[in-house]
Amino acid sequence: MSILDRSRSVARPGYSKWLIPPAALAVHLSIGQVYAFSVFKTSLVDHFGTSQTPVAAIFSIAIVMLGLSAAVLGTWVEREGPRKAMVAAALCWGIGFMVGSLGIATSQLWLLYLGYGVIGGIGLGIGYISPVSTLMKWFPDRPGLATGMAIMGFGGGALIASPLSNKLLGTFDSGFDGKTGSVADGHALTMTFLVLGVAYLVFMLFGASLIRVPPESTDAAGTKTPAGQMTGRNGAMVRASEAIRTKQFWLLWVVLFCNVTAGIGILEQAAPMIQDFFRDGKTSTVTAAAAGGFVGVLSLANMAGRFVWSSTSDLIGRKPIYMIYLGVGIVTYLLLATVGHTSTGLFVLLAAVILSFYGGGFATIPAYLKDLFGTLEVGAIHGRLLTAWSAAGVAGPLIVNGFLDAAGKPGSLTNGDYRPALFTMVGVLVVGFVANLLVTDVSRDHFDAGATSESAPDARASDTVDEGALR
Amino acid sequence: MSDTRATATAASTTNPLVVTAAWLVVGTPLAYGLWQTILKAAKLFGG
Repeated sequence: MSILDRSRSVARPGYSKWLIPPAALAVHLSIGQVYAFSVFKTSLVDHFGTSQTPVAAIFSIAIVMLGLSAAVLGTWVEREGPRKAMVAAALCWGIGFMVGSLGIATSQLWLLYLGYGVIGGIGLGIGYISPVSTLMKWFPDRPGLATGMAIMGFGGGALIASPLSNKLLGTFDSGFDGKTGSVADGHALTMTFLVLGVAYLVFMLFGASLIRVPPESTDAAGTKTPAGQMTGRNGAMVRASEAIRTKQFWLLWVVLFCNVTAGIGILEQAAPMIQDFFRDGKTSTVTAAAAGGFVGVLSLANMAGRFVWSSTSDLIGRKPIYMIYLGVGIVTYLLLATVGHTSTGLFVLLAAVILSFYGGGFATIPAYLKDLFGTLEVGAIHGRLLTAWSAAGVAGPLIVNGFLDAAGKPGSLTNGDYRPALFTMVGVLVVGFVANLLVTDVSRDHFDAGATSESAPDARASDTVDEGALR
Repeated sequence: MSDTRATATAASTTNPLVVTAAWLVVGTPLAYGLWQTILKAAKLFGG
């Protein structure tokens, strides 16, 4: 029996549930680095003597692998338990960096694709979903708060990695100062990747050492209840293979896709967008440094939204909170398109609200899935749903860049050039809003007979809790 | 479920120092990242 097995990671009586969020955060803070990959972009382009596109492909491969591995390996993660999954994620993420480091040292770009992109991307997918269902089982009455804490970490990971990477690059290359146009040499890149790989490996293994699944319990009749399993509404316990046959799964897929697409529309273009909105002739009233500050504000809004909105969903219900994300999002996007250019403060406020909904949408979706399908295989179902993220990662930039490319060259665009893209995003949000309205309870035909009868006592207790959550 | 919940939420016997240390390990880098981002964001407001 391996120490990594699910059975060996069952908590002893009295194990503090407050050790589970730090375990999850250790993983999510590490893998959140992926959103700070752009800090290496200019230096990698220079080192490999190539253009932006082949280097940007490293990030794209990682994100595609995130979606694919979460979808394909979700059932394995659910079966083997969070500790083994976190160790696997740590190894993939750490080794991914090390292989990438080797690729930089030997000037072989394909090794970066393989290392950071493929191996690291698998670590991203496993790591992202590994603590989520465990957290919800430890915090049965506050699943939104629990997943909000972890997924907030994914947003926070980039906030740490960006300045940390610049510091490391500067340490190994004294000529690098992290400012625009500054380029680090190959040795600095190699060493930075190596140090980050080791650091993330250790940090994630720390999380794996803390994680525990809730203990099995025995009811008054002597029936053993599966460790911490909770039913969804009406006693739903649905397996991942069955969940993807329900309309509810695909409606939530559309909801997540639309919410992420709308958020990426701003995120992708943030710095040039604020400069273009306040352009007077060839010059913008917003400096490059201030535009960088705007990106920082959006990062904070994104991270805060993950925790605040997801926690709020425990109080007002999952369906209403997505009505806010998508409905208020529609109004906010309309205001941005029509009056956003009148004041920098108003523009920043509207964009920050949109980004907070973007983060909130990510953090609340596991609890929504739990409400509909129960926790039986919620990690695996969540993994399959994350393909919506991958799809939105392609669609969002395509929509924005498509309209902007047709409008003119970068540096000459104005607020009016953004309107078609912004109005398209309003349409996308309307589709998501309607999809959310159509979400209903899952039919009993999809319930897993064995699991539902095994946890019959759960159904009664859980129904009481969840009535208030979905609404 | 109520039994399971009772177990999962039973009074903790874990040393509070262990819980505090675990939160410090993850909280410290997060605080560093937040602070750095706040400094960056301040530039938007002329800081």
